[in-house]
Amino acid sequence: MNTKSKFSNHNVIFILLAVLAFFSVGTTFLSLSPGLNNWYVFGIAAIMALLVLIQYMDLKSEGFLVYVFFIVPVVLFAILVVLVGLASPNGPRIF
Amino acid sequence: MNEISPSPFEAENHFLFTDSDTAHTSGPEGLTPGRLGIWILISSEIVIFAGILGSFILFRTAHPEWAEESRHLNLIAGSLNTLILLFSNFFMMKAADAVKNGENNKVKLLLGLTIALGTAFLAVKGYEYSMEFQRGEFPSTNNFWSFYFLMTGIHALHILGGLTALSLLWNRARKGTLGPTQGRVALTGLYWSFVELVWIFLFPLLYLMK
Repeated sequence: MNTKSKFSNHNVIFILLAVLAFFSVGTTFLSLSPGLNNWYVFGIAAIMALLVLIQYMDLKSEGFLVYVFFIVPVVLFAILVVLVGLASPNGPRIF
Repeated sequence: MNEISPSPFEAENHFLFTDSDTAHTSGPEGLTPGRLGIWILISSEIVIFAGILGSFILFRTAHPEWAEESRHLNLIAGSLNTLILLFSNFFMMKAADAVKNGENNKVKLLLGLTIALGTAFLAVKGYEYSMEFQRGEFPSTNNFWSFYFLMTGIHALHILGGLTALSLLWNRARKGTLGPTQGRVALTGLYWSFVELVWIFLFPLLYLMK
């Protein structure tokens, strides 16, 4: 494993995360509609989460078993939100 | 560089502690028992947090008036905590790399910084809680505050758990006895990244969602 490139990877990922966090907080100074605002901040959160997962948690180099461990609860979470959302009086409106 | 030596128990049972390349191929999917254990722990944690976060999202969409409650939260403190956790996890990753290079002094320094920032996170959260209590906002005030204290409280407990593990590792690094247990630094890093991952979603849910 090339440790030097790993070092620089961590630096790049950290800078990206800090910039994304800055943009996320920046939404409070914009007069976006609630729907657009929420898609924007959760879009940024999803990108940040992917960066942490792939680079810091090294998910990219894990085997199938770890993907199963990780994906099964996420799928269960999605089912929970969608099913309860569908059953709620307000319908499946998530944002 | 300090000399790293294992205890007799660790030397005899190195397969329980090591995260070396040979041990890396001993488990299913090339996982060490420790790494497999941490992933199982994270998997169960995802279930816990996903349940709470999912419930909050559904309640939040049914109650648009909660946006007004979230305006009472201290955005500066929340943003500062995000930055603190980003730095803390960055140092943790650097510590895991330093372990691989056998740089014990660097490991000690980086783990110390990670612990200091984790403690700072808890201090900021404590300050936020005290301000909220002074304003008369308690878990019993309404459902928004119930969710807020539940989610941030559970997250803070995870930070506390991580800090305990980090302190034990830092103490070993300080004494130069990290030895074959050095693989635990990477494993704790994996857990610490998960704690950051949870905050990445908690922060916009509570502070930024309109």
